Amino acid sequence: MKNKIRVHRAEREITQEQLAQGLGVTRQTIIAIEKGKYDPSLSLAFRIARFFNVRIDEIFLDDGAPPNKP
Amino acid sequence: MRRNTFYLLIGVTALVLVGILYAAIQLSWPALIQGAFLVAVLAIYTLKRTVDEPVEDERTSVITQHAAEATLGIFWLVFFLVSLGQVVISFSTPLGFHFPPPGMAPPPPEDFLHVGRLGIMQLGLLGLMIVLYGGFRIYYARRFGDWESDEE
Repeated sequence: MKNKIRVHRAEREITQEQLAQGLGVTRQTIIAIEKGKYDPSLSLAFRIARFFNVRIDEIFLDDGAPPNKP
Repeated sequence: MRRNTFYLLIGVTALVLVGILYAAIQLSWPALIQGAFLVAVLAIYTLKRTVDEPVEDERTSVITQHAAEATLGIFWLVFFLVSLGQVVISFSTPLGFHFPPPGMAPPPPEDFLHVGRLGIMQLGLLGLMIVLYGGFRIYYARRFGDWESDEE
């Protein structure tokens, strides 16, 4: 799944560490999501959208790939 | 406590446990390593609660889940193969039931040694399980973005 977290972070000048702390996850998880290595759960996706105060579909874009395939 | 300090303490604990295992063997005192292992596990769980940064989140849970599934997928096969071999060995020789004369206790040392050998085999299988789990964990951690560098 593609996402625009990096863009939203850059617009608000928020570091990965600050976002991770705000969401209660590790910074490594934020890096993995931004790079498309990990698809967040629905719950975390909503929390990210709430954090940036935008709709969820403004951040995440479905590219049709299965999530977190082993 | 910082996360790296926690991981360092786990390593130190493991080394101490190896030392205690050696001492328990020298002293022929099984309860020593059993007690120490239990205390170590409880201490690690207690210490984990004092870590300030999140040690686990949903991504690490996904990594753990995939690694555990893959480990189990191989481990049950190895365990079954080893057990089947042992069953054949056990049943292809006389079972060795000795009925002592009335009033006399059966000699235990031989059976006791068998228990010890079973423990070595179990420990070997557990070692294999840990190696498999560690390997799969590294694989899935890479797969789901651990050790990814970033410009920040």
